[in-house]
Amino acid sequence: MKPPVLRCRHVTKRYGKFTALKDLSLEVYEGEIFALLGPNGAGKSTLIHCITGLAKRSEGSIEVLGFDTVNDFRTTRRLVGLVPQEIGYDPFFTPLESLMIQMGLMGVEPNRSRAESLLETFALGDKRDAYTRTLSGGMKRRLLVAKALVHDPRLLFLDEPTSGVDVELRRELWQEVEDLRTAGTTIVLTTHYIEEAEKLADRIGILHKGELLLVESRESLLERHGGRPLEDIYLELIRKADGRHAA
Amino acid sequence: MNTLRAAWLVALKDLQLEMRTKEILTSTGLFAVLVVTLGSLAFYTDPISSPNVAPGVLWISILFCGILLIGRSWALERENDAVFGLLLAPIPRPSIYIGKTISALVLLVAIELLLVPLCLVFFQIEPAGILLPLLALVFLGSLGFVSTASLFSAVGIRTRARDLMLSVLVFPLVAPALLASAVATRELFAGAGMTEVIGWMRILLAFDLLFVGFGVWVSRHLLAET
Ligand SMILES: Nc1ncnc2c1ncn2[C@@H]1O[C@H](COP(=O)(O)OP(=O)(O)O)[C@@H](O)[C@H]1O
Ligand SMILES: [Mg+2]
Repeated sequence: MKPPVLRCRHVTKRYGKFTALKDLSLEVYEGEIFALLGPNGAGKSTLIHCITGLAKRSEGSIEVLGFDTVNDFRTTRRLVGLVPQEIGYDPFFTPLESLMIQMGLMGVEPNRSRAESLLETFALGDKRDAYTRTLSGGMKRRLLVAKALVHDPRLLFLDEPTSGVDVELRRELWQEVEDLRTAGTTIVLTTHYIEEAEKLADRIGILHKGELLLVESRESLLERHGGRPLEDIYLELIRKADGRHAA
Repeated sequence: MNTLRAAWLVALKDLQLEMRTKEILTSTGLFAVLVVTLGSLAFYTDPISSPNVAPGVLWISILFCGILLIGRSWALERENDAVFGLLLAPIPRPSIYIGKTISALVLLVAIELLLVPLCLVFFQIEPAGILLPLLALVFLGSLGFVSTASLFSAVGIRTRARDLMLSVLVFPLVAPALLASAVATRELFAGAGMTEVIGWMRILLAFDLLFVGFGVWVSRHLLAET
């Protein structure tokens, strides 16, 4: 097996007294699509934030391609890209400007033709000179994906990129995710749409109340459960874990 | 990327945005004109006493405009979660603070270039010989003020109570610097000698170094990951 792109070891994250992640260990390998599933509040975003530098882990270690995400943050932030769950944007910049500015901030030479081709890829070519605030929600989200890619990250995080996105756009986004993977980017995504993870992911992790209940390749997971839909397997696991917590 | 280069990029982004919307300059500029006009109408008595009143009006305008402008600049960042782009970048957190301070200072200086002549005209103060030292005093006073005020707006990125924080913490902190600026300006208008004015500039410069240093140090923690 290839060396891990991402290695989390015994990561614990506390917000005050509340523990959002409990002793979590996880490896993600080069070129795979890893789907992180879990109910609302399970800690999916928290984990992603700890890796990308929006949050600070309380304990444990996180490495991206062998670089520590705190001590070598300059290196790791160049290696990872994040499409955040909340749509954030600069309302008065155009998509083209937003990408150019983000290139500068990410430490790559602003390159107009690359920015333009990213916009084309995400079907924003004809909106490149419009104010971002005039874009539709789906367009803003696609712009966020483009923005997360300006520095050619090796590891891309998509935090619920399809919540509140219509079916058509969702399909397109997943196609783009597949294309990115084919181009060599490792992808970690979280989603509510379990059937999508079922179609797309190579490996699946299920997070519940800050603990990883399971990490397994999609194939073996489905095989082990005699071809039942992933959604059933997921619900069963969550219920069992809830029962354990209640007890 | 080193801290200063990153700070410059952050400042550039802000200034580019302002060139686009002109929101901050127009609103704050109009506000400045209003405060100075009002101040001159309310406090003007005669050409003898006006040099005593003018510094107060000038510095009150600068204070109000500065608060307005800095609050707005950080609010823009917060409103649409635009700050994500900055927080994810491989740049040290203090460079966000430094960049924001630079852009706020540039905008405030632009406003002051309107404010100072207006003040001189309304209070009938002869600009010959004092214009350059006056601008220097205004700049030095603004630097200290902006670098502190910026700091407490940065808190707003993380907490809701930002406006409260701003008033509770900034005013006592910058009070000595603002007082020194106002007094120095009054002395200048009253015909103080160059050595005396340079003495005041030294004091302001010391305040500035203190505030900027403090700001860079504190911003590291203020903007730190949660
Ligand atoms: N900044 C924060 N301060 C305090 N608690 C937080 C913060 N961010 C997240 N949490 C809590 O951590 C838990 C996990 O949240 P999150 O990672 O957003 O879940 P998910 O993305 O899986 O829906 C939730 O209970 C949430 O309330
Ligand atoms: Mg989430």
